[in-house]
Amino acid sequence: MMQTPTIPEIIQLIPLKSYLILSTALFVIGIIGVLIRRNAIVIFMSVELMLNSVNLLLIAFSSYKSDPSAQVFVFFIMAVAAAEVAVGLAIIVMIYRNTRTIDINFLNKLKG
Amino acid sequence: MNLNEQLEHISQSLTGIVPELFLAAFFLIFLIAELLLLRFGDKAHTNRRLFLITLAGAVLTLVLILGQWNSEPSFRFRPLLFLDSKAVFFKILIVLAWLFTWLHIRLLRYTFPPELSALLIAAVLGMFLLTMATHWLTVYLSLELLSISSYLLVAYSPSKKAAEGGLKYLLFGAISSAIMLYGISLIYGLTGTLDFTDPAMRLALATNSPFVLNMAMLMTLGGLLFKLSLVPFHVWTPDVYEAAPTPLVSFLSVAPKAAVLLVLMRVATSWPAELLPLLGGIALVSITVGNVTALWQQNARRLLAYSSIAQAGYLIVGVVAFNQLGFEGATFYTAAYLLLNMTAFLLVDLLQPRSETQLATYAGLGKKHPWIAVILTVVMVALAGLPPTVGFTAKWLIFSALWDSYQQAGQPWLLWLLVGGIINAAISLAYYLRLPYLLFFKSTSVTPSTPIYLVWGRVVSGLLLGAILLLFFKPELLMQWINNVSP
Repeated sequence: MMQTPTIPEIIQLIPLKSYLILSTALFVIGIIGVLIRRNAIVIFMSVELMLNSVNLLLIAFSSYKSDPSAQVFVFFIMAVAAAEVAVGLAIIVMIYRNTRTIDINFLNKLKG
Repeated sequence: MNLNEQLEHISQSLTGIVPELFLAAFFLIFLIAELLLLRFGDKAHTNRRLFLITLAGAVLTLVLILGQWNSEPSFRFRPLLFLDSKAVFFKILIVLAWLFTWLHIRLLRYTFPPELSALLIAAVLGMFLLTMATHWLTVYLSLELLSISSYLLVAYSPSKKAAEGGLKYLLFGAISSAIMLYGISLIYGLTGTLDFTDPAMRLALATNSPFVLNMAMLMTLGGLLFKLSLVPFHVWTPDVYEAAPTPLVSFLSVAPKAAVLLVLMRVATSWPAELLPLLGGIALVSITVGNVTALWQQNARRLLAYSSIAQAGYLIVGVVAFNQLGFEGATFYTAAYLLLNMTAFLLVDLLQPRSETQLATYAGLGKKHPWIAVILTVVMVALAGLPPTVGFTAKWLIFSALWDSYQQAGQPWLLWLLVGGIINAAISLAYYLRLPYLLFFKSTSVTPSTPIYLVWGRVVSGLLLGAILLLFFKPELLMQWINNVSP
């Protein structure tokens, strides 16, 4: 990875590679959570984990490149993720009212 | 740029996005108007008034976009948005799809909650921004504006399975946008910029090893492929199409694809050429998966869902061909697909009004409603791509573009894509002709519901039939527009 000389000492204490490994690990945990969990709310938590690993990676790259554009991006991701979860929870409440469960295994009326 | 220049640029940009500003204001005005009318107006007139407000807004939007037709191609809020005549052309298609959806809703007397009209406005706003996006930030934001409104459109609609379809749509959408963001962050790490028209991005990407490049590109395209319902992000399509009411499905199956296709064209022209084999593979797999799975569907909307997965594959074949004719062909294909697919949904709905569209209920209806059934047969033939319909012209254009590209580049995978596409067009006939077969050659098994369409349904479908045939015999009517917009 290219490095510009303006990066502060304090940031360089942790190499960029470590951020990359950490955020990839978090992202993979998120994907596994989405795939194996059956509870709709836990699936949403896993999606949030995926989004936050992206945020971490964007900020790491951004500070190592001394370029603020990705940090602005992170704010937008946080705001949009909140909006998405608000819609998602509303739909989950709708489903809970109908079926008294939020287990996605019971969502089997649409098939084929 | 100093502060004065920046302020100057912002004020210029604001005058350049008038239709979008209007839609954003219209969304709020509509919500307030709905509240006031529900509070003070009488119930009987409210729906009619709100419909007139939406119609006036849509027509005004169309007028505002036509006003942009001759504007110079230039950046708005550099480098976030870029307005050129291609974007204007696709915006016109989107507004036409919007108006067509309203026509469909009115013809079949659907009674939707008024919030759905507001959500449609928000979705159209998202698509407008998407047609102009040249920066990953704007692509992400407009894609999410479109996605969140469509989740709500599906989940909020008065249908029994709506909540389940909405939740599945939302989960797949959230995951694919997370994957897209991960790809974007990798691309940003590799290149240091988020503006994909920046030549620096192409140069920096080209220095990476093919494996890294392909992985980053595939992940980044995830959100776009999700909206186009292409393999491997296509799983949601049939469930959502079955859960939502038919007019909304007809809107969601066409308009977002048009907007996303333009983004894909912009990405393809500014990214390294390794993208094209990747897109070609996705196109071939989508066409095959869509067509083969459609063969054993029992529901007309599910059948059209798998058909739309295959059609989306054909849509990006024009982008893969990567020449002037290819882009024009893809644009033509989008317009033709808009006309054919929305007509197909309208006719399916006219035959069995507001039903669950199980295929078995269509048996023998051809004798009762010969006019509609004949037009539906023509539309199905057109979707399969046979003459004398606009579907044939569209497929002919993209395949000849692909053949030109093969002759010039000589890469064998282009030939495979061409052969696969043509074989699949033959396979698709098998299921496209199933509905006409049921209509004409089976006897009625269930008592048909009373048709609520009268003269207007027949008149509108006759006009649509005219358009489908006219564009086969005189494709230059549309092509001269498309030639103008892609210099």
